[in-house]
Amino acid sequence: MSKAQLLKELPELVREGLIGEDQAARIRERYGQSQQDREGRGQLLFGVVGALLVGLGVILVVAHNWDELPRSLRTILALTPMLIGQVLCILALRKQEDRVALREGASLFLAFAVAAALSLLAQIYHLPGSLEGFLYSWALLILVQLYAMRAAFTLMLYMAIIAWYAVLVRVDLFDAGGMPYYALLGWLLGIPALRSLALKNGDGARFRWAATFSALSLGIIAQLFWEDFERWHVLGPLGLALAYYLLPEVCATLLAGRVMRLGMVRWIGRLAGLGILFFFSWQFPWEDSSTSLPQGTDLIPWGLMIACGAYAYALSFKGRDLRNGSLFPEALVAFVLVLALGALHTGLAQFMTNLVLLVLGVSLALQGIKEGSMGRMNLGAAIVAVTVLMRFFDLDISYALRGVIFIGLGLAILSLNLRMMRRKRSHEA
Amino acid sequence: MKHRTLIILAMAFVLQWGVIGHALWDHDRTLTTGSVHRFQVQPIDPRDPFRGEYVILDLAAENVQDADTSALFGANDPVYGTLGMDSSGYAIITALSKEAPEGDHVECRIEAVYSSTIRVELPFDRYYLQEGKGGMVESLLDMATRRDDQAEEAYILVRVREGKGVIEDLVIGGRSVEDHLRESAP
Repeated sequence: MSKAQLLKELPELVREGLIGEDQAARIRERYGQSQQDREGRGQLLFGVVGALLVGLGVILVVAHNWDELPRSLRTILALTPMLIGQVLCILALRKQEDRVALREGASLFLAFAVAAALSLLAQIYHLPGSLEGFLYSWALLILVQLYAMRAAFTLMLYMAIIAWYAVLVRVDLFDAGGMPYYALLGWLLGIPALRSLALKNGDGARFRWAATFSALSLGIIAQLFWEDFERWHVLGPLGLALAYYLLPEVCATLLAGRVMRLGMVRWIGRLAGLGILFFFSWQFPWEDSSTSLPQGTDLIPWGLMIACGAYAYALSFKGRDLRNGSLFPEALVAFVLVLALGALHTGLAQFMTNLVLLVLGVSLALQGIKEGSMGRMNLGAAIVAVTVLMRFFDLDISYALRGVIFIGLGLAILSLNLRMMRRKRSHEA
Repeated sequence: MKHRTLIILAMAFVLQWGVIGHALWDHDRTLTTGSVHRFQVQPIDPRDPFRGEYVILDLAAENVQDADTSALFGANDPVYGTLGMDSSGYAIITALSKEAPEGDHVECRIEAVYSSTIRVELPFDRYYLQEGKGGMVESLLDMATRRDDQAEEAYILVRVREGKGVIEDLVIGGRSVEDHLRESAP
């Protein structure tokens, strides 16, 4: 039974006398949100969406560049939204510090108002400067307010701006060898704000989203430092994927007793790791890349990302139930050995990568069946299916055989799902 | 509101007003009290998602002729350009130095060093326009700069003060671009 169904059934269970009011309240506390929380979430959504629309609207109005207006009036127009935003921030903190929606909305509006002021300043005085310079100035000007307002949505915006800046630096200054070091610094400057959110409300939706954006931002920035990308370079992204996947366990170990939900960080790690394994299940990455080790400036991000992955794996190793837990981290670690094998025999390494994927997929599917988790079972089945389907493109198999394999895979997944659904129904009955 | 939160918020506001206010004050003072120079231009018309439409101004003065290339300038070095005037009355850079010179000068950056020419990046390379007018100004500039008659050429009026330069106007064919746009408005 899903959480929503359970919560829906509670009044009926109380009426039938199966459970008492106290027990119902405790179940609500454990699995659901109170009415107040739900209202708070609705207010938060409207507050943030409202601030986002107004803020973006201000940017668009400003970008029109009203050059028929006198300079003094345009200056006033440039600064008025920022002043309104600051007043709203003070009101949000002074009057109703507990009203998250007001605090988030005011902070987000101020962030866009600062961008509008910077844009108008550039227009009025025809200031030069690249978009990346504009983005970094904007990010730094909203950084301090993040700490005062404890605003998760402004932190998400900040992380997005920093990642955007990093991409532009790499793209625009590629020939000049430009590296987004300042983006890394900017990202690090935002992390104490994320930590503050985690300490205040580590299991809340706001923290989950902020953690997801921060992880995505770092994931993008970290891949922009490569000067070259050969086979061994992949250990860097692999290390980061492993660290993201194991972050919940790492946090549980480091912050014993503190509840922390990290949103989609584990999924980012899972998808990145699977992406790497799928990529190397083909023949061309083994044949088209050299086995030279990273050199020069590439060594810094490479070493850091590997260190993150190794640290997370070592730290989480004791706490994990290897028999019943997912073998995903072990699959990534096994791939490191496969990479080493690739230096000796590329064909064997490709075969071993496929084998790692198949073992991972089968183990996940079996685990899903054992635990009654359809999500895990289907993920495992999907990994097996994708691995097999991809081989159709680089192996010479007849169309008839391909068709039979397609049908077989489809039927297997359907029957697994049907069996699981029947089992669930019989449990419920 | 906690005392500490108030202090952090105040710091954020001081930073926002300080940076934006100082930039406003500095550029406004240059625009009102700086000396006037004319820089010859060539146009391009791009767009910025935040700041809107503008024309990029490729300035003739950015090519410093007969420069002393032995002064060990490298790409991206910040330098000072001493301002002078050519025979047509347009601003040119007569010398580059690492220390601020006497008289009118602008802070710029070395872009490339050739055998006897140094290409610099001046701190004013774009003119912002109201949405939808970039293309019109670009074609006006194209027509003006194609003519042989010097009087029809395009230039920007720049106010210069203490190394900073702020564009006051874009002049095409002897008239302000604002006049051209007003005239062509429906």
